[in-house]
Amino acid sequence: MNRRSTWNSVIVAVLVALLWPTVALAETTESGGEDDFPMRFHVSAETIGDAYQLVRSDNELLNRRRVHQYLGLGAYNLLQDEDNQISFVTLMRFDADFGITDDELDTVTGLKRDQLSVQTFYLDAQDLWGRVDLRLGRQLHYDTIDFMMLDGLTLTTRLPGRIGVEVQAGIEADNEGHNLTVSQFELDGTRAIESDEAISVTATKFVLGGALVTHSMHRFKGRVGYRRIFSDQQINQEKFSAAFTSRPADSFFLNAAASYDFFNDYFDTVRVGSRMRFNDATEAELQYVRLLPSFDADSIFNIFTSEPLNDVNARTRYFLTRSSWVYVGGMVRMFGADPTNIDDEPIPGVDEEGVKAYGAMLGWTHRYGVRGRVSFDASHESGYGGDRTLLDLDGRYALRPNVIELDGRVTGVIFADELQSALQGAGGGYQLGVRYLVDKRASFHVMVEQNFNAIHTNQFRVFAVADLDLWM
Amino acid sequence: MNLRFELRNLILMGSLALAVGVVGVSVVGASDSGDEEAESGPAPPPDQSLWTQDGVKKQAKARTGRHHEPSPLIFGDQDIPLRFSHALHLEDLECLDCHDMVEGSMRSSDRNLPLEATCFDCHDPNEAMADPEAADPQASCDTCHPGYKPEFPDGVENFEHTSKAKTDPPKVYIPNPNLKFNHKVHLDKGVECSTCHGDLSKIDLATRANSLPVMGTCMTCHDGEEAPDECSTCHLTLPDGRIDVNAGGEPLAPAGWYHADNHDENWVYNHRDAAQLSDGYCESCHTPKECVDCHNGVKKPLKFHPNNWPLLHATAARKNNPDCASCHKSQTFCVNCHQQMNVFDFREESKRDLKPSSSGIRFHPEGWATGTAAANGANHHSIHAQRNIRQCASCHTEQTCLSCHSSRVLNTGAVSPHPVGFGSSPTCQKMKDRNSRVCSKCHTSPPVCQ
Repeated sequence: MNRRSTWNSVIVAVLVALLWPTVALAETTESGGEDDFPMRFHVSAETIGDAYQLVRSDNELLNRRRVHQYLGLGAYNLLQDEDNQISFVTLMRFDADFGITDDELDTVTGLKRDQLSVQTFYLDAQDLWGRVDLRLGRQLHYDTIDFMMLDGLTLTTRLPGRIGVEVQAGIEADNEGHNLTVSQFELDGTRAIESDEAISVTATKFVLGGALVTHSMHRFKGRVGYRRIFSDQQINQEKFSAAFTSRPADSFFLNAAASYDFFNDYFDTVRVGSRMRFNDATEAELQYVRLLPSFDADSIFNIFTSEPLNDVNARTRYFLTRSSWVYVGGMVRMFGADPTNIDDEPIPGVDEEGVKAYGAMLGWTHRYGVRGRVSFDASHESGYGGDRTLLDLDGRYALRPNVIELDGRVTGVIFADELQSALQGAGGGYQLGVRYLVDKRASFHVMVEQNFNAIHTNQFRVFAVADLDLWM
Repeated sequence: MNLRFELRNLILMGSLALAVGVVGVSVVGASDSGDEEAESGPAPPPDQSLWTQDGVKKQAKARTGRHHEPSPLIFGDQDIPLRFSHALHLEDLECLDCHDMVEGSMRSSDRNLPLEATCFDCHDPNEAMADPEAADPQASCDTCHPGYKPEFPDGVENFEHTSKAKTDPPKVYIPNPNLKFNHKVHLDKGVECSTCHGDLSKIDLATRANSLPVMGTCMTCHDGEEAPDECSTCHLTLPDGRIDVNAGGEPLAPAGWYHADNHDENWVYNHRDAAQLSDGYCESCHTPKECVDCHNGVKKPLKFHPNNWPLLHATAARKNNPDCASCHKSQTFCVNCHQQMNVFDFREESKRDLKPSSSGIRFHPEGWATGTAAANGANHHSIHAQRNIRQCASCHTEQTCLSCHSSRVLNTGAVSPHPVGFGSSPTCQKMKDRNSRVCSKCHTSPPVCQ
């Protein structure tokens, strides 16, 4: 164990030690709870164990033995006032990978054997003075622009006229620079460890953003937003976005979203979709997506981004009953490339209209209420990237509803990768799990998975989850 | 090749034909039923079989599809073994004549059904016991309790004392709704019964399907101005204010009647449309942890990645289907794993033209990284990078690109990644003004945009 592991272990121990006084405090509060709107405490713990093996391209066996421990603590209704609700919410996760060798630690840059991350840690105020929502601390913020783990403030004020103003300010929670967080929600495209000295990707990234949002509008919801993330007076991300969902007619829904990247000077995302209900039994959805990937402005990957990916998806559903339906769908994805070289000469094999990936899918789902559900899906994809035909049957059955449940899945696949001729063949696999709910506050779930495929003759995986969820 | 091409065309055409057929048949079916309704004549004489729940269920079974009716997760399954016609009674009576306790009802668990004694105000069981045919209105027990014939102990003369019967009629069972509701508040504000329960003068036996409100009924007044529109106004909530979605046993989820938010088989992809508005709607039921569970890659729903995913994911990543970036950061998650798996050959000596690995799998074809696209055709890396740069970023870091495309090595014959005329374009200046750090990754001296 390296020094960081020891330090993390100490932090986890302190956090777990803090858990029990919180429980005691909560119990005390409950015993005296005569208030109409009492203070409440929430403790959640989830332990996830995951073990499986993979074969490296050089035939060496790689062990994956991981444990993830979530710990969530929350205190709600701190003012004990229904009209001005203030809460404190925190969620931490400790990840440990026991399968990583010392050699891998040396070779793979940025790899960690364990990591403590504070996922959320915020004070939340809802409906202050009937019009203000506030969240202060580490929080997951998501909108049309992006995901973001923000250390700072989100403040929303609802104005008359069903419009609200939202302000975001703070710093981007940055794993590479400041640890105690996860990298997933950072801007992508750079790796601190491999960057040039001149590039300060580990510098603090400040966030300033704002949005106009609708509220209490039942047939139209909209959002127009702007956000700038910057460090050392240089832009990391600057985007404007607009999105809405609407219901112009009772059986017709329309939504659209667009995001404009000021650094790259293009729309990186445009999405338009609709959903129509023709009658009690039939509905359809149609969606168009135009995506031109953008990265952290510090990344040179932006320079190589030139052609958008255009995507059309369609699907129709036929409801046999309220709980049973079938669907049929299709998708076409178009990829572009400049058909001429720098001297404006045609490149052999590159068409102006680009290449396409396409596919069709169909399936059936039936829900048996508290008893479970079963579903079957079949799909075929072809074109750019390769071919894949997939058959999948999965279901859940409650031996005793809300006590013991079985879940399982059987999958068969035939595939052929377009670029790597060795990656093709047929494969199959199953998953089988059992979930035992002690009561609403505790459950255990164990699942095994076994895969057979063209490359690996046998791949076995065990996944276990223990959940605790206590309100006091 | 031909066989595969024909197969996929057959599947695509078959799917399209089926989709068009399903929509067509349904639309035609819907318009046919409308015509029948329009052409129907005078109402037929009352069918008393429809006054019972068996009759109502038989009618419901004859319909296909899903109907916009109250959810059984909100109003649990009822058992109403009665024969009753609201239509008949409302010819002479008002709602409150029978449901008088509703005026003081403040809890959703209040049944507010009339007591038997209320029925006896008109239906005289003594009269019926003496001469069932003569009783007007009918008042024998099986008038309302179909098939029920009570036996009374000897000596009972007043048959209104039904508690003395040796056997009870089948019980009416109406579970507590998983909802908050106060009849008194609504009636005090002048809300008519029919506003929520519909026109019962056209209904015989009132059941969940035909006389309880759907959420849209509530939302006609609960619009945020006339009445509050928070979810917690009506739904049962957890102490943190979220809806208690498990109150009814089976998880409660939107059915998509009011927003495009039906949690169906495709919701795992479609939910971004609702979530991106970031207006708190999702947090009415979900915690941020549930977002993190999937979007941070520790515990994904089984349905999302099928079995054998490590082997299949390369094809999916190239198609960007599903969108990897939704849950994975390429420069940490993807690159780290690829390095561990030795899929990405990151050794210095092989940067220019990646060699086959020891297992014989050659990741990139011949001519992938050397020469130009004009010479090597569509399989040159530049073409694939243009099509989907994310697939490159899942294995390669910026260093890979810099090793050839940087101005420091351009004299070796590599190609500038900038389009022709970039230096004199406004985009060059804009990018430099916003972030000149990225320029210095390739350019030894700050670039001059003209």
